[in-house]
Amino acid sequence: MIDVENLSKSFGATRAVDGISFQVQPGEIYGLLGPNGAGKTTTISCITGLLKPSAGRAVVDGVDVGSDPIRARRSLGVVPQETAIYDTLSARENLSYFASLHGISGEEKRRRVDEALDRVGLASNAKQASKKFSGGMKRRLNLAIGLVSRPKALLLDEPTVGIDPQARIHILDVVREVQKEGTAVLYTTHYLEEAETLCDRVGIMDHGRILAEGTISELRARVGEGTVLTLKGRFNPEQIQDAIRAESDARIVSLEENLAMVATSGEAAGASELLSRLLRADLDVAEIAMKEPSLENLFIKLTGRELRD
Amino acid sequence: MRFGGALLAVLRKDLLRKLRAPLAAVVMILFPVVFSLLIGLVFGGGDLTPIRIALVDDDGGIVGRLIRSSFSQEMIPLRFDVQQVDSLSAIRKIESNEVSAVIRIPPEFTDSLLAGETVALEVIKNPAESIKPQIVEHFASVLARLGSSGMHLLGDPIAEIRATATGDAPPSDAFISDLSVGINRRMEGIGRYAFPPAIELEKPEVEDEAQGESMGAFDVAAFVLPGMAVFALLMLALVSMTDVQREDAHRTLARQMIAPVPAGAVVLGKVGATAVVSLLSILILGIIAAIWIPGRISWLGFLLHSIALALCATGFAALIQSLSRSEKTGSAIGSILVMVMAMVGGSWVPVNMLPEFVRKIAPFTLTYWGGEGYRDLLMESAGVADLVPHVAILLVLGVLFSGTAILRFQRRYAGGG
Ligand SMILES: Nc1ncnc2c1ncn2[C@@H]1O[C@H](COP(=O)(O)OP(=O)(O)OP(=O)(O)O)[C@@H](O)[C@H]1O
Ligand SMILES: [Mg+2]
Repeated sequence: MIDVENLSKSFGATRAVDGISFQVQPGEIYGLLGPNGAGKTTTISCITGLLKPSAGRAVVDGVDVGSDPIRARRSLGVVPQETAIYDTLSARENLSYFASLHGISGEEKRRRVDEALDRVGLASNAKQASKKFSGGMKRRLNLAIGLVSRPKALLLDEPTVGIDPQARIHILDVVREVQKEGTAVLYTTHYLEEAETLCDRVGIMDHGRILAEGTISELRARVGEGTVLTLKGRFNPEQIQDAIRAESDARIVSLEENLAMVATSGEAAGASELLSRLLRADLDVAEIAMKEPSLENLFIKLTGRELRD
Repeated sequence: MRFGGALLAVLRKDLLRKLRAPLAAVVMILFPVVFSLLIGLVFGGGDLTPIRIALVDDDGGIVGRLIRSSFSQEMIPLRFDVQQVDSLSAIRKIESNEVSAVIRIPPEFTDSLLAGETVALEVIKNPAESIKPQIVEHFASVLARLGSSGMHLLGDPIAEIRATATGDAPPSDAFISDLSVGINRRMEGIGRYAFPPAIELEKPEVEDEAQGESMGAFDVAAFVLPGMAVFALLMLALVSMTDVQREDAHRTLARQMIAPVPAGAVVLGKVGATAVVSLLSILILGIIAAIWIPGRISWLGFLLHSIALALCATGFAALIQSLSRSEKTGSAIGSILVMVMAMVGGSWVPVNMLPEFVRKIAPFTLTYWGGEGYRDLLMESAGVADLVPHVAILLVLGVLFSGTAILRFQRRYAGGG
């Protein structure tokens, strides 16, 4: 349904998107997981035709966005990163307007608007001017506008940023619902947990590239069975290097003054062995964290840094 | 979706939004009214410089005394300073700008009046001043009407001046022509404007008559209002068009641009909404003015001129915004341009009172064509035919400006960048 082929987009010297390819099938949620500046929004803008790719192309429902953007957009619902709503208009008026831009009118429009309001739980606030909405309600209206045309392909750009956990759960539930109806969903986020719990497949993105792609379990397998140990304290990198030199399957993920991340690729026993070795090395350690294999570890492994900065 | 449908949807949405935030439009409608009222109060109001009149009483009868006492009535919110002088020094005073007008009571005035003959009270206005002499004229006309129902004011002006001047040194040709300019606006010609404070004087017995034939009165508002209205309209259009950039910053513009509609329909709808708001505001202002300033004007002319002006103001505002990177620069540059045009084009000071070189460049401003059109409608009883040049120029510029702006907006926002 959504086909991105060798897509690149440069802004001057900045390669915001650097030759990425992926596909999203109907009824699938594809997550683009990446930190700030990874190129997620730029990718979405190329799919909507708001930006013209420097190379490659995006195809939506068989229509090349570059050659016939208006036709491609008929199948697209978009939820932008910013809450792009008219705050002097009510929720209903907002939805009704964007529905008419999709050529929906009359009784059908009323039904679609009601449906979208219901979905996001704003039915009882439908007549209220949206400037009086809370942040979470605005986010939900932002989502509803993307849904009101019942798109075949839905693009969601960090739709849960800055809202409380309850509202987030609500939004994720709505996304799962539309997925069940057969919509192809492209979901960008920098929340690992969202990608892990929501997405069928995830592309890990940084500096405009997709570094790894696959289902959650495929990606987990790529991290290996190992565990990541994070140490904070007062030590210098050489001490860490000395301590783990003898440990054959220990690997340094990142190493800075007073902060070290070390991974084992072996079984759990390997991790405790590594830990005791490190403790014996007479380091001044204030904090130790052990993490099971997760996307975060994979992310660290791929990019050498944590997702949230 | 077809272009027309999208256009209507955008227009509807934007008008609804403007209705929810009507401040700019309300200010646009109120500002010229309040401003004109203020000007009226300043020129009519008590504390400011009184209007100086030289009274030449060649009659020496009761009428002279009546006039003097009338002009010093407490009930009149205007202050007059009446000095009784002989005709020669009256002319000197008007020459040296010491007085705004001369009222002359001709010889045998009282006797003729009492005999029921047709008499004429002369008002010679200082041609160097615009408003005060007309107030005097209006006032005198009210007095004259009170005095006699059958008389007509100001016969052949040139003849009257010659009569005034005879006896002493013959006046120069230049002086005569100056004076004739001053009195050329005969009561009947000026007509139609009621100066509100003076209405006090119009006792019921004269009221019918005063309304029947166009009333010999002058209204400050009629002088000030058209220019102010044009100025305010341009400012309103400018404020209204900033909405494109505000929607851009708010990302709702991008959201419309990625809807399955032509970008041109969205942009045209937004420009159209400003045009509609501008037109409605100026029409409402016109209705207020019609209630305030009684008189017959060509409503078709008013409508056509207003449509052309609203389109031109919108096009101008859209062009300014489409040329500026941000809402702030657009508003700043636009306001400065509007102010300069208002100054040069006669929105604040009527064109015929501006210095010669300014008068020459005035026709290159929108404000000139806008303001002159309304002035012609109000003061010269202009009809549709008289307004053809104004309407044509404004329409052509309006289409040109809007077209360019729409193309620029489309190129900037439609995507593909
Ligand atoms: N219009 C633009 N002009 C210049 N550079 C841009 C533009 N848009 C994005 N960039 C750059 O492209 C890169 C990718 O930006 P993008 O917004 O796609 O990232 P993102 O993954 O959406 O980040 P975030 O999580 O912060 O939204 C960044 O380095 C950004 O500075
Ligand atoms: Mg982004």
